[in-house]
Amino acid sequence: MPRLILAFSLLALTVIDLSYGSVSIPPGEVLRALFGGSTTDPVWKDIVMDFRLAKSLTCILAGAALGVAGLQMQTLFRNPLAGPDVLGLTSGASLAVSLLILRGSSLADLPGPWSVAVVASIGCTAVFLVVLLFARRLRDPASLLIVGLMIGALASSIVSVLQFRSRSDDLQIYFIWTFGNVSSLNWPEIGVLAWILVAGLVLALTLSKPLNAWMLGDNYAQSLGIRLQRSRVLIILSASLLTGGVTAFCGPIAFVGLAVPHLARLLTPTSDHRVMLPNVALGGGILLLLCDILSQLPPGPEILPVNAITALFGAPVVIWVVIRSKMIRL
Amino acid sequence: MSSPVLSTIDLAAGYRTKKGDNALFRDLNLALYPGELICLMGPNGSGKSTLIRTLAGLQKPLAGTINRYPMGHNGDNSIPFSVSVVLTDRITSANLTVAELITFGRYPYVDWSLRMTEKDRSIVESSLRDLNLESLRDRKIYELSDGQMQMAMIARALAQDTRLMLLDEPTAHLDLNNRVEIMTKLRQIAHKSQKAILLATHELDLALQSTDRIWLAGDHHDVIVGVPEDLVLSGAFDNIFRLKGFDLKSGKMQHKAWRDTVVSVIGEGPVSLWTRNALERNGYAITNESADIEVFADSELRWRIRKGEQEHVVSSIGEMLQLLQTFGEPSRKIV
Repeated sequence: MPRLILAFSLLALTVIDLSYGSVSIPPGEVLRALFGGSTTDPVWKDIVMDFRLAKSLTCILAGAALGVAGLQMQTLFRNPLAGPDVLGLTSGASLAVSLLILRGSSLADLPGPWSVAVVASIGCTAVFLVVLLFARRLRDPASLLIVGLMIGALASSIVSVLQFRSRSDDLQIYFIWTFGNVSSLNWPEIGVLAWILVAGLVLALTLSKPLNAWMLGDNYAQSLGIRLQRSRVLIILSASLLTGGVTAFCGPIAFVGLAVPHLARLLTPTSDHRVMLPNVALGGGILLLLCDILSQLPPGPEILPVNAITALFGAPVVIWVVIRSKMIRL
Repeated sequence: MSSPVLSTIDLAAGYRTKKGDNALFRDLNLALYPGELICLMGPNGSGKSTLIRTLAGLQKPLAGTINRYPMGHNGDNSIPFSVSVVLTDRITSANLTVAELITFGRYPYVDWSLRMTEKDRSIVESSLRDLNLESLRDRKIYELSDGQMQMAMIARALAQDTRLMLLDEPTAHLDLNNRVEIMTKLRQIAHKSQKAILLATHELDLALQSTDRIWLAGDHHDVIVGVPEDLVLSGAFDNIFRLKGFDLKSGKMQHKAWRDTVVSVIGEGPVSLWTRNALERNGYAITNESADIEVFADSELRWRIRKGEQEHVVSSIGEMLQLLQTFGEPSRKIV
């Protein structure tokens, strides 16, 4: 039942998102355009199909991917404040992109979405490998979390040094990327993102058993026959794949991965990942769609960056969740 | 005796450090048999948890081998099918109900999709029943009391359906009532379903009264095995626990008769027993022969106290002690 509500909300918000923007299109016309009919104003159909649909789909895919990655991280580290950004993956991507853009290299003369995407993925993978190296040595999830935080701090400080020494034009390009952007993806990019989401989500679902068993901690999980090291590597792989894909195409989107699992738990108070994983996927899509709608609310031609909205909208929500439930549970 | 559920050959257990192995136990040759409840005892820090974790396969032995004899499903002798554990790890942050927690016990038997068969479900149900948790089935585990939580953890281990169950300090932080209940349950489970249950504890009194055999962590990286009563009489407990002011052979605290007053207690049964206890605790010397002061502890909860010609009747031990105080210290001698 809660999943039906989530699915319906997702569809409703998609229609609202499609009708919203610098030109308002009635929801009925949006539906007509989606299902192949002709709209009252033919331009509306072009706006919906060529521009807004790609953006809405990006929101859904990116939100879902970040939510699933966040849930896996929180379970793996048994820490309600874990998220893809906490592990340092987003920072790794940022560092790689800043190296590309801020060094003013020849590539950066025209940093097309693909060059940025490839570089960001490399950054994510690099951090993933470093964390994996530590994961072999550290049995304790809390220490691994600290390693992740430190890698993030390290990457951020290198970015700061680069910013200090770079040209203002490059700085501007870099800053726009860090704001998070869901509106510049083309169809092939959306296709790649969709495949990444499917792969990551399926991998996560097959890992439901170790993820559930991890709720009891390493020792109990091991005594139940869970192969800890192997499961840990697969969970990190799934989470980095999802985070890397999103960060590459949309820039670092903060907060979604952390907040969505808590919001989903509010709806279905369970720890069973077979229930939670589809729910956080739907919930992530909903949250990012909502953020996108909000980012278009202020009148004027400019659209606020989505990253500014996620925290503005979400931070109070998490505080409210914490206060309401006294204690965050996994 | 039937064949053992677990046996060790020259087992060494402890920690690997960079400086070398730190063995808490060496050359252990131990065996656990079905149907017996065994307490692993030793003072705090003697390595009980380490030995439990090693036997459970959660920690590699430093040397030697551990043989686990599975007779569970699929003839699989890997750890989840042969050993279930109750550890001291806290798991209260998980958003689980009691029934969901117990279902974890079936994880070794199901595939990645976690689909439970009818049999899995009925085993979960019977575990719930065996530990009287039916009324708490849908309660969240973070709402349980410590005693209920421990019962749920035991039910989870029971649902894993192994021949061997290892428990690390399952009665720690519990009140007397819960401790007794847990020990009684474990005893029942061991005897009824022919499991071997080994539990680490440092609570002497409880262990002495409920366990079939005791493994006592010795001073020389060894484990002394015996029936509780034998270990008491041989003085093994006194040596290892270095008991202070507690006479294990009589099962009582040692009291010094500092009052220099001899009281004879006449009577039988619990009333007499607790009357003696109160007098000893308050420093009176007790004798069975006639003495200056005589206390008649009758069964209907009244005490007659006679001292020479005087006789008083009181209705509680408290009153009796007060009365004895008024007698003063008649025979105080200045040495």
